[in-house]
Amino acid sequence: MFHAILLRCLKQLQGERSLSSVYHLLTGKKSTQTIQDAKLFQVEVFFGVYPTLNRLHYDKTIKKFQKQQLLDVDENQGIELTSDGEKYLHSINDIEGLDWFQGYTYHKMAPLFLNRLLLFIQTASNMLNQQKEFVPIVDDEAAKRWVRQYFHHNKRNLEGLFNNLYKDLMLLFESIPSPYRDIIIARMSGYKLIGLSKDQIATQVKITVDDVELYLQATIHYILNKVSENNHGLKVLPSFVPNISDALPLTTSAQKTLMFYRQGISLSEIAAKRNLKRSTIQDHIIEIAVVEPSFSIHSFVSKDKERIILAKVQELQTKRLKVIKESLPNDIDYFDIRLVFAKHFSS
Amino acid sequence: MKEIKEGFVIETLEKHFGFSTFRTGQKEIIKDILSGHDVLGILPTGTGKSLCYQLPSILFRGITIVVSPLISLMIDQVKQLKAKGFKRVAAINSMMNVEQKKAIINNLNQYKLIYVSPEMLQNSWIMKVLLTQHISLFVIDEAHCISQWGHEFRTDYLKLKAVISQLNNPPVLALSATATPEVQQDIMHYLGRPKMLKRIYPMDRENIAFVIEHTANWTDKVDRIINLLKEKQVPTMIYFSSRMWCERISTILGERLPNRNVSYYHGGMDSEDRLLIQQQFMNNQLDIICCTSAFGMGVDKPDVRLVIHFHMPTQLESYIQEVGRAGRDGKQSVGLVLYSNGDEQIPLTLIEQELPTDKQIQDVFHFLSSTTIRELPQLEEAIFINLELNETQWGFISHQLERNNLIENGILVNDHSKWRTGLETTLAYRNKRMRNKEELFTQFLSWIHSTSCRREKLYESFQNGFTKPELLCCDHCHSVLSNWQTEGLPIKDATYNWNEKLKKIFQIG
Repeated sequence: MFHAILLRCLKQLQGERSLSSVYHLLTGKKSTQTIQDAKLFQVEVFFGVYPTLNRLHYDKTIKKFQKQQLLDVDENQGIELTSDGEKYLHSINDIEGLDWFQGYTYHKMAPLFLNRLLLFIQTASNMLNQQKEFVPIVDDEAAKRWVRQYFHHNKRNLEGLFNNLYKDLMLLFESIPSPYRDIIIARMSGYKLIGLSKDQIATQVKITVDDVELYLQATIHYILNKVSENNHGLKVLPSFVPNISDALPLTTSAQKTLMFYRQGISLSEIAAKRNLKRSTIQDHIIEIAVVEPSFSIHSFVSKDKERIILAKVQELQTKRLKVIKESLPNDIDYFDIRLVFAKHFSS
Repeated sequence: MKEIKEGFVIETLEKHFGFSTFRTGQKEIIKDILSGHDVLGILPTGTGKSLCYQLPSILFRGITIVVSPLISLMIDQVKQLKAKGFKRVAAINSMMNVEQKKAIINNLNQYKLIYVSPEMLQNSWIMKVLLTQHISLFVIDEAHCISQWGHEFRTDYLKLKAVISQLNNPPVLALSATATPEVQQDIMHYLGRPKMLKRIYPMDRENIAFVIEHTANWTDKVDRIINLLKEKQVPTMIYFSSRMWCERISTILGERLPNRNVSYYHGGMDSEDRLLIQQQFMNNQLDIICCTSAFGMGVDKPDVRLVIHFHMPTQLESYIQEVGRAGRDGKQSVGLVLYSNGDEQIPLTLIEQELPTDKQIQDVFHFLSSTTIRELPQLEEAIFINLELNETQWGFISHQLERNNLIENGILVNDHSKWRTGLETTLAYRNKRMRNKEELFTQFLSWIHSTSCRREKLYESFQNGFTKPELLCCDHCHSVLSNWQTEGLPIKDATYNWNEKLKKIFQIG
């Protein structure tokens, strides 16, 4: 699955972005460029689906692809799939779980949901066996706090609730095939029973450690989606869904820029005031343009320039910034082009 | 301090820790502490060192501070205490963000027991708050870290003396599992407490038998381990010098011992997986664990029966610590070291990496004496990246900068002659340390090649005499492994059904 996601993303980027951009996408980097790319190249379903991906490991995997001649890197660091790459992708592209990802919506919710679920199952299973002393297998403080409260509220009807949670899971597992179901169960801990590490699961199920992580994330996205449909008769699971909106918010820094901007302060003044580079403030403006449909870009780039840029994209059939920039008059800069992209190519 | 009745102490022991009697040394140390003495406690691994301050912390009115060198160890201790129902405990370390630290610091009076890393006590904000509290006891865990002759020297430990006096000189308890007389002297000297009561208990473990076997090469080692483990179905730890070896052999053992549960543990795994593996081992879901020295601290499994060293440690002291994880319940256990010719290279390389090279020292000195930025903290990143130092190596150099007065309050001094002599001193000091480390390793090697009783030789530089076991002593005294009777573990159920597991967790049917 890891390979399929990597190759799909690289393919979608059409050789127009650097290697790092896919890494940032999968780890969910909250930067203007990453958020814009996710939308621009329609890979937002994979945004932040592998937050623990290690950079060295990512680089190694890409190198291996190059060695196997699945990828070509051109002089501008743009990456394209070779025909072998296409063939390989085609052969691994129909993994069911790939369609479950909704990274853009769930990247933040999913890990917290999973931690709450795992920790509650371990807690309830121990408590119902009168075992009050156990080491929690989840370290996440936010999840611990939530489970403590949730447990407290439900301790009088713990057995009934736990039973209903089991029924919820059995209901979902009817439509979640092996090995997705097996992996999430393997991860669970209970009374005198400790869940398996990713590496142990990998050996048992005979997939890679990367795939253990991604199968698990895919399953959580699937469950979150089922819960949100609200018509499956799930009784307990909905209460585990974190009450956080994941629709990509602005970074805190961009929010500040927006606040100043709305007070009528110019970009240079904002930069000076906050001791930031002007280019950073420009990044914020692009981020705002991506996220906020009502934000007008015309106080930065004229309608004429916008028209010229769009025409050039049409003519050259590329979204590669450098290529577009070089074939346009000098008075149109990167900021203008990126703004127009933000407005028109971010769905 | 008012006398606390012994009966009440026993009552606390039962109520909070579930024991009805003390283990060796605990009672004496606790009694000394409760009557306000400074104590240096040397207790062998696995004899319940931490109870010596955990119990007093409940009885004291104020806060007990415990300085602990390893964040993972600290977190484990807090987790275990909380699992036992002891809630008024917290840890403060550099892995926490400001919010998390604030949450503890601002509610300090709710805690009885606080674990801190030594660096945290250099933080003026944290010290300021600690100064407003009544500190009943100041504990230095793994106190051998204060000695430059100990194998885990930490520069921050040298600053504890000043911290203790700032905190109005509360009673001090220094604890360690192994310390030579030299290291004991250092501990008292650097803490500024030359009159500490010494409570030193012998570190020899009567219930562990020692075996050293020569093997031709690493595949021979693997075969030996497999044959032995087929015969001895006991909870086993196997120590390796690197993460790579640890994973590699774990995979091979898993394949060739299908009836056993094998996994590995090292510092490179993410914290969730480390926790799961640790708990599986405690819960007997795993019975063979391949690990690096990162495993063990804080893992208090009572029935480890066999500790195998696939690779040698760098000195006897480390070996005593690691083999000491066996047989904490007092039952017969075995330590086995597998040695092939040429194995010396691995520890020697490790030793080299623990200290900076001459060139690295020269480069750092050159860089620092010539750079225009004079604030050291701002330069650290550049030093790490440009000069390719690891943390231990940088720790060594930065301590030398302080010792040679080349840095004052984080600012580099401008005095060329000082830098010149500082460089000389540092280079000389490094060579001295290197020779010392090499000597310690040679000592270990000579133990490997010794022809007399292993037990006698193992402990001779640490203490006078030892208890000779009646049954199993070492491979030079008699044949250990053939005389070792073990109770077998239940054979693993190979068919593992996911649905059954779910039912078991949820107690269905």
